Amino acid sequence: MPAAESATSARAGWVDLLDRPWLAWIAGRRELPPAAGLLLLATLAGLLLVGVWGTAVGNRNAAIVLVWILWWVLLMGVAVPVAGRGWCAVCPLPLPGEWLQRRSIFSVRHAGSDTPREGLTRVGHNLYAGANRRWPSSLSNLWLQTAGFLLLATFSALLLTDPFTTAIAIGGLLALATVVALVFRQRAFCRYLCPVSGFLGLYASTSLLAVRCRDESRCGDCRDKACTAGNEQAWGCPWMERPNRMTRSNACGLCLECVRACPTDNMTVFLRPPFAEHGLAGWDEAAKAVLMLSLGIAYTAIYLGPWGGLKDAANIASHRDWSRFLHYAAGLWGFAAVAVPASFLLVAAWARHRAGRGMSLKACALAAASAAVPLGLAAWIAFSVPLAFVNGAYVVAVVSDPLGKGWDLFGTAALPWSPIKPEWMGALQAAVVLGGQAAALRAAWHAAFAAGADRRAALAMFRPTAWLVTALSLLLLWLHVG
Amino acid sequence: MSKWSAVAVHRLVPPVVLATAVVLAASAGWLWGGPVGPAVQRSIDVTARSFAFEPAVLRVNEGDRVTLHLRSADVVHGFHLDGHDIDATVYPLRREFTLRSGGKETLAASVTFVASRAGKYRYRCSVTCGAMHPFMVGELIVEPNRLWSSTAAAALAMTSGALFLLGRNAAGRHARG
Repeated sequence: MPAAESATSARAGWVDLLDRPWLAWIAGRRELPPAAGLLLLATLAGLLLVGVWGTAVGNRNAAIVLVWILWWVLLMGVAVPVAGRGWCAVCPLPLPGEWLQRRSIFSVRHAGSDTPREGLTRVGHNLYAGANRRWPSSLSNLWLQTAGFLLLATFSALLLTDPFTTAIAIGGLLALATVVALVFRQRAFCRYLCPVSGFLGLYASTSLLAVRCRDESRCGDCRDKACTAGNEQAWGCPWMERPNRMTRSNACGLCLECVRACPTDNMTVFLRPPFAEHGLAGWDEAAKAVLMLSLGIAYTAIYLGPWGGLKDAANIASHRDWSRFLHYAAGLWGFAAVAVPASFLLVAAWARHRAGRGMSLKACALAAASAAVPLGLAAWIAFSVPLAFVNGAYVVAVVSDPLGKGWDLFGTAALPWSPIKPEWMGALQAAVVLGGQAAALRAAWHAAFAAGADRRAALAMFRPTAWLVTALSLLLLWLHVG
Repeated sequence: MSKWSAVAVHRLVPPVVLATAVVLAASAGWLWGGPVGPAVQRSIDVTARSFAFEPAVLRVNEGDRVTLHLRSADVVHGFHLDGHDIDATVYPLRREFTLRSGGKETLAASVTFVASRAGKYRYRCSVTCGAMHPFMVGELIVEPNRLWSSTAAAALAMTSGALFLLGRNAAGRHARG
């Protein structure tokens, strides 16, 4: 099992944010997340229309600029390191389905004894519309999300540059989320299908915010478990977690329903040091972690590198040469889904051989792959730096002319493109990669120590992983500043 | 020294030692910077085509006087050199391009600059030329590339130092039984 935190006493240095009355007041306002969600949903609807009817020139279309520059940079650079899955609390994709499921936007539907059911289904202590089927246990993992992200990544050149494709992809996810919400319980789409959610959950282990119970003994005395099942004040955990028993943040969407539900005010939001959680729970998480790291490296080479051949091969929209594109896809999959994962497996096998003492390959592999979480996050943050510094100017211009039709709503449409201090980017990217390497080494050591029988066995496991982490860090550094 | 402060010092020593080793390695890497030749004059033809520059990577030495002849192989492209006051619009089938530098806009057949600062600078297309325009980049590397040598040294020192400290700790605990 991942060595998250084993007891309340292990939260040394954690700050209970909701001890502050004003933060507790904000957390208790159940109308705030849906209000933010409504605003974002309206924005999303506008962007879908802009993507379909606006200019096909990507850097002049708000659908491309606001999604793949502004939103992505804020997500990877700020939201994920600070709040992990915090975006999930306001993400507009699942909202229409959730509101249809709940038959409500702001209020709670409690399954009290005198509450008319009106054809609704009871789940926990709340009532829901829809079929409310349980998500299949065989699919209760990250494999679908991993496959979905790899598919999107394969067509990323089209997705990142063509507004119509962006609109179709996001619109498709919106439709899928709505349908899934009417068939399956709660946020099954978010937990098991959404390609963005997959990596948000993975990197939530590194974030500064964590929802946990204040005092585990008080949860032990609680019979209702309103945090999980809901009550009159709040919906049961839409992520199908047991908040009172959470020791990992990977499936917590920071919706704070559990905080509002708890009758003893025992759920809170902690501010903690970064990279507080270590370890991965299964092969699906390990595969996701390694794949995200691999794709971070691949994206850096393809989109930030000088090699036009890679960009040409990825650019199926322009050349329409499917044979060439399939060669590119095979190369991308070969690197991201075969070569890099194989290197982690080799390292794990070597570590198992060195550690001896009956260590399983799975334990060694999970320990090795745990390093891919912080290093992968660093790779993606470093990749996102040029989006802000170089392409950020497009955001200001596109606000005045979102469809690229020659408007000038706020007088900024004619703002000439100019990168912002591009000579600073290299140092910033290098610092991010080195920070990621440090965190990766720490994560790998903690995971090896948790899996190893003793310190010497852990060190034997850690050594090959440490050198693999170093090699990948050097590759990232070379791509950015070499 | 109290028991708790002794524990605190004991816990702080390894990361402080490691951090010091990393900083020292990075500094050594920065000072060394890698091999570099004498400053010379260079004349280079740079051709822009959708969506890459040829050559994709330019390597020069610090102090080199570099003259770039900019061409376009297909459509109108831009040429913006990060960290240098050079931005140009390059036209297909024309030797001359519009150069914006020093606050002036002129028609030129080449642009000359002194590579006075070592490091890695990207040149980018600054005129929307197609779908992959935002990713159309080349690299100018002015040796010695100190940022690369120092960060690579830091990365190696970080891992070596961590393994050394953890190994010493494990050996010490094993010896003590």
